[in-house]
Amino acid sequence: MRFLTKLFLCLAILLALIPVTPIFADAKSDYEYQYGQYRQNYIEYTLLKKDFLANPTLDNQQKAVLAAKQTISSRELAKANYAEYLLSLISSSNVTYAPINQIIQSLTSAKVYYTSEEQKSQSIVTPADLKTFTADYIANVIEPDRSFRTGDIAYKISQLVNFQVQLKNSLDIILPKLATPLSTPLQTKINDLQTQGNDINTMVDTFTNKLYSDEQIANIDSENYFSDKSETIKKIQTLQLKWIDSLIDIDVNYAHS
Amino acid sequence: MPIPKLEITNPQAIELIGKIRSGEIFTPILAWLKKNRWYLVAVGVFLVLIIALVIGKKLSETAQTPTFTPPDIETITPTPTTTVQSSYSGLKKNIQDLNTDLPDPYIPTFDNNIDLETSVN
Repeated sequence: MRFLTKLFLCLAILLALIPVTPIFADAKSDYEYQYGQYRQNYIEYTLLKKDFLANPTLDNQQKAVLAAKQTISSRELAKANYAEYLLSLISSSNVTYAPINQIIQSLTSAKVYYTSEEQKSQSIVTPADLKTFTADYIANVIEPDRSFRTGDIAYKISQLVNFQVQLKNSLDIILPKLATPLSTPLQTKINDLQTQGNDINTMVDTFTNKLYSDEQIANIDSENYFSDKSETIKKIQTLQLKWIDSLIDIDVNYAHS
Repeated sequence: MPIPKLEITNPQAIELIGKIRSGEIFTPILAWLKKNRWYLVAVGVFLVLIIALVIGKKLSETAQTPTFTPPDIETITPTPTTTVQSSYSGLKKNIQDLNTDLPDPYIPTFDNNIDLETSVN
């Protein structure tokens, strides 16, 4: 007995000495975990609901309500984490671009909404509670859910803007390195770059502002909502590549000589 | 001192000396040589060749081996070119790597209508 006590004491001391490993979980892994939980709970909910509909006993009802409650809770957490994931992606671009602020705001509001709904779902006890909760939820969740679609596009826009900032900074670094007075062909190249840079900026602004138009908002739930936006992003990317090719040409042939 | 006169009295020796003086003793030798003269010539030639080979070998060993050096071929030396690498290539790659497909990241699907009334498919 004394030996066991000593052994237990030694183990307790050993465990206390082991440093606690910090767990760094990013927004993506949080979201993936919560979405996995939701899928698992959803399967359980569908099975228990089938059982209840086939055999509507009080016990089956309670089991189905509890499974529905857990599914709703994990669903709201998964949505909140997805909103956070999108926000983290946008902020990772390290740009302050006012036209997407509205989308960022809607994502933030959506995250708050889902979190509050998750807390609200804890009060579900009866089938009537569940019915009321879901009816309210369906009526109010449209806007928060839409923020995922615009949030995805805002993430791409933030990346494009980040590239624009870097491209402009690159030109600003190269210009003082050039031998003055600038030759006419070189001056033409620089002027073209500045003009093309402004054109791309205008294109990004137009694209972003168009997202808030009535036409786009009306079309936001359609299947082809992303297709034309993807094409526009591709066009902007092509222009940026053309721009940087010209910049590299100046850098290699003029700035290094 | 006067040299004493050598007088040969042995009849066999006298006979042998007589044969030598008359050349009679050489007659069988000459006959043998005459008979085998071509063999002797062949052996002589062979010996001469062997001796020539031995002498040639000795001479070649003493003489230094000539080293063959090929004539210089005119080689073309490439002109050194300095490739200037732009420091903005990395930025170009970042732009190229941008995934323009939407939605990215993929938007998960959720069932917003969770209740106990409608049937589940």
